[in-house]
Amino acid sequence: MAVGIKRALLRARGRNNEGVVGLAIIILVLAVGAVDHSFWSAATVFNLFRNSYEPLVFALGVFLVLLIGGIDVSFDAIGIFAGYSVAILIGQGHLGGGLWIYFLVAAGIGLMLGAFNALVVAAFRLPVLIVTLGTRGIFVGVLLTAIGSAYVNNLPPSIQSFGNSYLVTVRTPSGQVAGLQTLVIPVALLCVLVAIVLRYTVLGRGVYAVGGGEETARRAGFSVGAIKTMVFCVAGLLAGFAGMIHVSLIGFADPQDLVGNELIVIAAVVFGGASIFGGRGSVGGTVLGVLLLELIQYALITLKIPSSWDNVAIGGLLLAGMVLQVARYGGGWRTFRMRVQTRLSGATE
Amino acid sequence: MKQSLSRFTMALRTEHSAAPVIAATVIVFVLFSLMAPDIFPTQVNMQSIGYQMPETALLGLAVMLSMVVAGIDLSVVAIADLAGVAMVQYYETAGGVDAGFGVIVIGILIALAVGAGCGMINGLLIGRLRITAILATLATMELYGGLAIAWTGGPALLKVPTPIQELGYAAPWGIPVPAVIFVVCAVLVAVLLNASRFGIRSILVGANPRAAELSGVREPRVQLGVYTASGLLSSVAGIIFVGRTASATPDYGASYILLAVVIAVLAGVNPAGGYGTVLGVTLSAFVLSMIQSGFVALNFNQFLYQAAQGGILILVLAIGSLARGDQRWRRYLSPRRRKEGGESHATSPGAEETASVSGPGS
Repeated sequence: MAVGIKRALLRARGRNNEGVVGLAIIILVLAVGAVDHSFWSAATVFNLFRNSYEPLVFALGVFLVLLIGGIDVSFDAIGIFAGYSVAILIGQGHLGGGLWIYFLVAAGIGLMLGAFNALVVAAFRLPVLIVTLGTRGIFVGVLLTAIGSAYVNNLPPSIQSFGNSYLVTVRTPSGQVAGLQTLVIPVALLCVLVAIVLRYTVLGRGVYAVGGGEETARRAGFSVGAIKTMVFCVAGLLAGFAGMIHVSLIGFADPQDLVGNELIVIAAVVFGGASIFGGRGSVGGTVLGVLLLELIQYALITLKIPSSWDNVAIGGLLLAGMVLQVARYGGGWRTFRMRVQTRLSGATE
Repeated sequence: MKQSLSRFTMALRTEHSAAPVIAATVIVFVLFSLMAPDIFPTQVNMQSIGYQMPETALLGLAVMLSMVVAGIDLSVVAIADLAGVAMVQYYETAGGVDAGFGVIVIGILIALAVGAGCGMINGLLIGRLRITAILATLATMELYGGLAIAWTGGPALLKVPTPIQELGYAAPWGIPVPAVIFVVCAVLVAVLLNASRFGIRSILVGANPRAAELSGVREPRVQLGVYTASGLLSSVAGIIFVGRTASATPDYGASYILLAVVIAVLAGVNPAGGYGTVLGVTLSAFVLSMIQSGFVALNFNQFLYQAAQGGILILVLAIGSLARGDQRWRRYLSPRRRKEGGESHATSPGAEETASVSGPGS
């Protein structure tokens, strides 16, 4: 009996401590709600979702690159590059059609920039962090010099109304309208799709295999180069899509936007249980990680704590979470450390 | 000439070296001097670089130290801001702009103490609790930066004593004070890294933690020392921030963190640990500052600087990686030639011989 309970608990904890993140979310919701009962409402959920769509799609891309053992810091640059370029194309009348077209074009631009990342990584065999630090600068520089540096706010009505198209709406006691946006469908589909591909296809298992050990994956018959290229392209595509979400939700395109907030998305993904050395993590954990970080910020508003304390709260919770996560490696630290060494030296040689 | 050239390519071929960044420094300097001979290679321009460069170079040194032990310190900018805020908070309560000499010295000591303290916390998290460096410093970056913002509530603190402000613009004998501070710090770090027991231990821990452990190096202590030093350097950068902007801004220089990583990596520092170069970091900070001011001199679009910064990072590292004989890309360009080579080998007389020899035996 006791064994059964223990097994159930271990199972709920998840392979990468996703359960712990889920538990943190539940505790936080209960605690904040105890202080302010209006926190327990559909409006909170809807607002939380609204804040999470864009970081979540970015986080999916970051997660994929993290799975193959690389840290991508160029995603925000790709996102705003794609979103702003689409806004410019629309403004110049080169791009007509509906919302679908805009998102497709943005994703396509993102895919091309992701392919550029893949090319540089493959050609020079440099670590992903270094390459994306470089390409991030290149993307932003090219965007601001060649494409434009001014605000675009005359976006077509289909984009303007996009942020306000709801599946369900509720009215909060204070009279504001909060709703579940239509956007939840494509974002949820993306998450499910990535999760299915990672879990049930040869390609997906290959991504985990490459992250677990490149040489091992190669000997097991996976085409390492193709898998890596694929991952960078998909990460770029997701970043482009997220950039378009950003532009359409705020209703204007600012080319100097986004870039500089990379680390918080990476933190969310890592918090969701993905290992920065690759091969570990899940889509579910990533979703929970993003939701937790957004929840913290939202809870601070509810608790009327000045927003200047945002970073302290996030940093403190991150730190607390990491100390808990360390238990996961426990005695195996030394082997873990050795693995890191071989990984990193393998990547730079 | 030929010999020195071959020595240079040899230097490029060794796994880690500052050679690519030295070459980049010379090329960038000559290039801009030729393109803008009246503006670029002048004393005024070099002076302005001397004011700009030290703060990012100090942060680059701090990141380099953490990379030597195979870690990374993302909290350097946050520590610099927090140290600056702590210093000016003290001045606001003790005299403001007209603070006396004693007060100023105490303020500087407070800033250094904050830097060392924050660094020690990083070192304990990474060395004792065994949290991966990039994650621990990501969290403390939020925490320290957040504390700076929460302490002031957002706005900048302006009551900076005059002598501290002078740090930002004084130039005795034509040499900017920030540059002097930087040179002193750089020499200290170079001595620490290359000529002290602590430095040798750090390099060993970064190069091979297992071997270091077996040789009796206590890794947690090394980590503690390295991150404390990194925090101290960051707080010096924080003092220069305050001097140059005549204020303590809690979220100053948010873009500097990735710049500091770029500086360290461009210098040839291996993020996997075991190699650091003070000269390389100094030169790479210098190269980036030169490009920035060169673009101003040439009236280029300022945004292009960001692209140039990214491009030069990839270019320099790619040249280094190619020079080391890592030429996998050739296979992509000419897969055919490689295949033909393989076939010719198979039909060579030697191959036939071995085939015939092994034939009967099997």
